[in-house]
Amino acid sequence: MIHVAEDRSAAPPTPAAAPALDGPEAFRQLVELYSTRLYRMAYRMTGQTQDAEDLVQETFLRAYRHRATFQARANLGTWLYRICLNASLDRLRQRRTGERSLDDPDPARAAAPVVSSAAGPERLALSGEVAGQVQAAMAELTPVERAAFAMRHYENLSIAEIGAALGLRDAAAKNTIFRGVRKLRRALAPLLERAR
Amino acid sequence: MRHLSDSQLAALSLELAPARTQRHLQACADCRSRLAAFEQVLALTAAAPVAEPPAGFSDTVWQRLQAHLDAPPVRPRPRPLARARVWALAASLALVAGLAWRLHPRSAPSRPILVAPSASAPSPVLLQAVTEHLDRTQVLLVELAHAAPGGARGAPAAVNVAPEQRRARALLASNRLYQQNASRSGNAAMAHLLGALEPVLLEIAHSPDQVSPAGWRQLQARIATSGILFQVRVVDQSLQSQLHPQESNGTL
Repeated sequence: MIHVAEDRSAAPPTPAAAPALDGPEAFRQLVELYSTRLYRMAYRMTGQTQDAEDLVQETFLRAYRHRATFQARANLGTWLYRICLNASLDRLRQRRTGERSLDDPDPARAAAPVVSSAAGPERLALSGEVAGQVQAAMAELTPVERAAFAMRHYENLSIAEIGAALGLRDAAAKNTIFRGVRKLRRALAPLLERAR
Repeated sequence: MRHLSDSQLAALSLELAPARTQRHLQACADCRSRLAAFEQVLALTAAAPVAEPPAGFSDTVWQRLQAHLDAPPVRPRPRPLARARVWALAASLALVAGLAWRLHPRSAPSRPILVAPSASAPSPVLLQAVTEHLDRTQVLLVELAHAAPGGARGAPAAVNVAPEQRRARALLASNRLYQQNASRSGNAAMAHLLGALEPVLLEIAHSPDQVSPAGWRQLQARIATSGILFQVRVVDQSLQSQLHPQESNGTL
């Protein structure tokens, strides 16, 4: 069963802007800097807004408790992503009734509601049906594939950062992302055919 | 012509493909067409709705967190050198940090700054002092390891190592202080590294002023086979990353 090791060193986000972990005030800055990004990641992992809120809370709580394990040469953002992903995987695991591996896709996500509180023009252009199919295609990915894909495609992280957050070597991180894209390509092929 | 695989097309669509893959694309209409499908997929997923947190979310998170922030941090278990935290290293060496500056050959003599050990907030100056010591040690070892003895017209000649001797003596003094303090403070990994450095520095410091080519090669061989240079590099790199995170890390 996959679990991202929290004691591995991680790579970098915005070190210049990131506060140190010396005390509550610095930690408050950390919350301000990263809570939205972590919320989006948690939502992409779980498909549930309530879960996303809880997971952000859980992430910062774990980070604060384990702040002594943070290695200053690592990157705060990647470290937080790692914690958030672990918390998300734990949450997904709790949802399951059986002992299925997290390498399997998450059926619960297929029925997850589509949420759009910040719809830009492109998003508004997506019909409900199309959005539902994209959501379903994302649900075909395993949680780790989904996390890797989201970090690359939505958060624009480097391969090294993704690898650090997931506890994977660079090559494995790349392959995980590519596998996710191939699955999405297959799942959305009928939709693209119809659009031609 | 061999066409690109789906993985290569996925890499291209995410701008992760090597140049040779891109060159193929310029010459292959079929692969360009297949790539377009991948790009459409990414465009669709980029446009898919995503939840945004409610207004004031970070404030809410912070308010809820505050109730839990009194708990002391969970301290990590000691780990081997490769994973040793630089903070602990710096704290263990805090008492002798000022001495490193005093022993620096390019520095004017000054009184050592004695700082009480602190496991939680080592000063950057202390880290700098340790890094400086390992930096200078590394430079000395690299110069010795790569220097080629040779006299006029290529004839073998004795090597004058007086400058290296002086540097090694200065390093030896600070190295001993660091090692003793690392041992006392329980930093076994660092104490081991510095302990391994000592005989190498001793040999250089007490070698004859003029070393024969054969003796020189033996010294180089001992440096190479001991692996000490590699160990120093690893720890030095770790300290450098600690001191200059922006330079060693990319950006998110």
